[in-house]
Amino acid sequence: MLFPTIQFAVFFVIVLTANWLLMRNRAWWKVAMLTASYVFYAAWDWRFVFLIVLSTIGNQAAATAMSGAVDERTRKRVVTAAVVGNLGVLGWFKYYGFFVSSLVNLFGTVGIDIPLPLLQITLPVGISFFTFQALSYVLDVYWRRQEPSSPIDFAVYLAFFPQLVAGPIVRATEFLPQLQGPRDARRIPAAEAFLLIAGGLFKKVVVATTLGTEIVDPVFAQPEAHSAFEVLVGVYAYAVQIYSDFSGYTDIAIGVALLMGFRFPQNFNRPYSAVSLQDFWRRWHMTLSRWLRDYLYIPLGGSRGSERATYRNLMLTMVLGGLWHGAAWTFVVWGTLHGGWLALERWQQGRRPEGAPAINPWIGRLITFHVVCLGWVFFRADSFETAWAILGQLVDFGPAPLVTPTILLLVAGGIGVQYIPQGTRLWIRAGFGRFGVAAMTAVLAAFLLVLDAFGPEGVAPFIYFQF
Amino acid sequence: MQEEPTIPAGHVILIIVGALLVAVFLNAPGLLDTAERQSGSTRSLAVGVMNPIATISNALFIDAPHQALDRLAHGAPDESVIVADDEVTSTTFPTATTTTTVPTRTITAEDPLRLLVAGDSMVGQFGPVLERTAERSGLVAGDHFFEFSTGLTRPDALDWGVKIEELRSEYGSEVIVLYLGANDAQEILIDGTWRSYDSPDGAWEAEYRSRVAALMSQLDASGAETYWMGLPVTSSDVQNARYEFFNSIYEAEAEAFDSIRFVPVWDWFTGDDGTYSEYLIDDDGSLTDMRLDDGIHYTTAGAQHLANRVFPILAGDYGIETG
Repeated sequence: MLFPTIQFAVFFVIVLTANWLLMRNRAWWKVAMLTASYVFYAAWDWRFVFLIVLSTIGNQAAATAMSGAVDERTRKRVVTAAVVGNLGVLGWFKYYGFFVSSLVNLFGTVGIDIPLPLLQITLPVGISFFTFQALSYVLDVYWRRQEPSSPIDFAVYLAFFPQLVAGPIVRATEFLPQLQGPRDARRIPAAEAFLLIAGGLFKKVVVATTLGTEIVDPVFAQPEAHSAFEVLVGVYAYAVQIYSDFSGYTDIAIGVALLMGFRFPQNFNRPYSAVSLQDFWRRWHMTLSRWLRDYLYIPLGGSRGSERATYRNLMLTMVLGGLWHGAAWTFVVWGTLHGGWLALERWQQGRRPEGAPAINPWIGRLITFHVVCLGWVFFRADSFETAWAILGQLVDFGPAPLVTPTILLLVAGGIGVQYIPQGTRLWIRAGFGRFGVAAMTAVLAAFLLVLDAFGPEGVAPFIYFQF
Repeated sequence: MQEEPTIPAGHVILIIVGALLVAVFLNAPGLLDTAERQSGSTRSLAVGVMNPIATISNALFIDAPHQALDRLAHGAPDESVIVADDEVTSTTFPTATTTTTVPTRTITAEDPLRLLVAGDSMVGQFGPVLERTAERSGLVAGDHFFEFSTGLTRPDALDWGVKIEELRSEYGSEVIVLYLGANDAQEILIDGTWRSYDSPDGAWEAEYRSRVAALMSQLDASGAETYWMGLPVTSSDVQNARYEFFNSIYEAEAEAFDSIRFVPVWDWFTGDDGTYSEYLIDDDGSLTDMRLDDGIHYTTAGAQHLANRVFPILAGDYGIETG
């Protein structure tokens, strides 16, 4: 069930009404929200519901066992089993084919034929997201940052439909406390929520879909058929498309949760205005960055060891972050590029004489944006052949019929909005918040009219669902 | 710091329901069109709901802003292509503008063979890859076109008879590789009744067969040579039964036309045991993921695997060296 559909609109009106009607009856509210979330998930494939139920039972059992364990050794064994179990399930569904085919091909190059079975495995939508949420829960319980919650609370946390399939990655410590009492039905930040939802819908339906179909897909499908300018704009367009698509989804998710009385963490903060790659990762998919930092980079040693160990940790974190996005070597290259550049920035920072001026922020932004775009080429390309072809075409000059004024406007607008100051956004939100019920209704109806008229027919699934 | 403006939950629900209701009337033409494209009972329900709303919206000019914005965004609707009429029962095949057969000619780099790859979402990956593969010969100039979720059962979504003629005229295509049918197990309106794909009296099959024959007849008359692609084995047994049935229709109907060649692709995507396999050994000897997670569409590698088999057939027919 995609957000920008009539099915979801009907589903949400029913669930939102039930949410507030049942809010004071905590037990019924939890049962209703859990049921609604499973219905939402089953709309993709009902079999996936069993997977999330099993993940809930397994992780809750691990958390309870750790809580009741008398010695550290048992706790360690349990958390190890939980981590291996979670990653095993993720690996089975997401990486089995990738690793088997890579192994077969690797051995094949030296003439050894290994008969590993290739199975037809369907990737459950959102598995990477709810697995990371489950891991954060068991690890937080292990590190005693979090007490085990009740089974029903944990089940609601893991399956809560706004963030279930594509984030943001909400931590147990952020969500479970919000389940402790009823949310305040008298004070809904509706202006903030409606603007997030409307902005998210516009970014997805109009910006991402138009850029995807009009320039990104043709350029990446057949790079050799396009001139340097078309390919360059195609790469910039992909940068805007993936930002619009993913931040659009999480904006809608955050807005939907706000209307239900819950606050999710921010996931994007104008990432293309970043002055360095380190700054970029503080602004892009912020909940994943935090997750990787707290549950991977820091446990690996972070920057506490030698300089070399810090670079190794950075590289490992980013390579694994790349693999999290997809089971392909192109994602490994994407992660390696980011890890390498982050290490380079750290190395350069460490050698700058004290008091020496940092790089001009605008030069930093320009360099960072282009490093990110270089990474996007490998992220979007379905093979190295395509990625190299894209880069090779950047010197093949010629006509560029795909670069229309609409495309240029969307690309420039998509990058330009990153520079709108936060104050302006808050000012718009405050102004909209002063509207009465009738005026808000009229504005939202008019927005839906514009969205339907300017949006392409049919909406492609969100890019991040596949991760 | 300014306090965040808030309102009660009841007002929130009122706003959402109100905005959706107003938007349903404002967007009635687009929503009716969307309803028409559903299948089965969903379609009946959606059309049943949207028809009266669209009528009221139109009568009271509530849909006027939508029509105006639509024209602004997408230009005037092309009535010859999109037929959003509930009563459409068959494709409207136009008379071909050119009826001469392709002359036997010398194909050169300066005057290459004009190839068109067209169809539904199956062409999404395959079209560009076949085009690229063919163009590497230096003797073919390719174009491709695809439209998701279209086929011969739903001319209201896209009338392929009209579209293919438009494309052929625009590109001057001499050879057409046509890939349709993946979405065709849908209801067809026959004598005012929606008949399902598996209707026991054979009415659906007869209608579908006649549509395939009519499109082939049109293609034959146009003078272009057509390679009608068979549907591949998939990961679903239900889908496989449908696709085998469709393939049998395409193959049988193609036999009536010298200019139409059916290309069976089924066996190119089966594993050693003769059934669907997502991973296959590609032409470089590597075990490669050939199909997307839906078990139907091709990955780029799968599209290349297919193009590597289709192009030699085409090249052989036209005397092009594949090297």
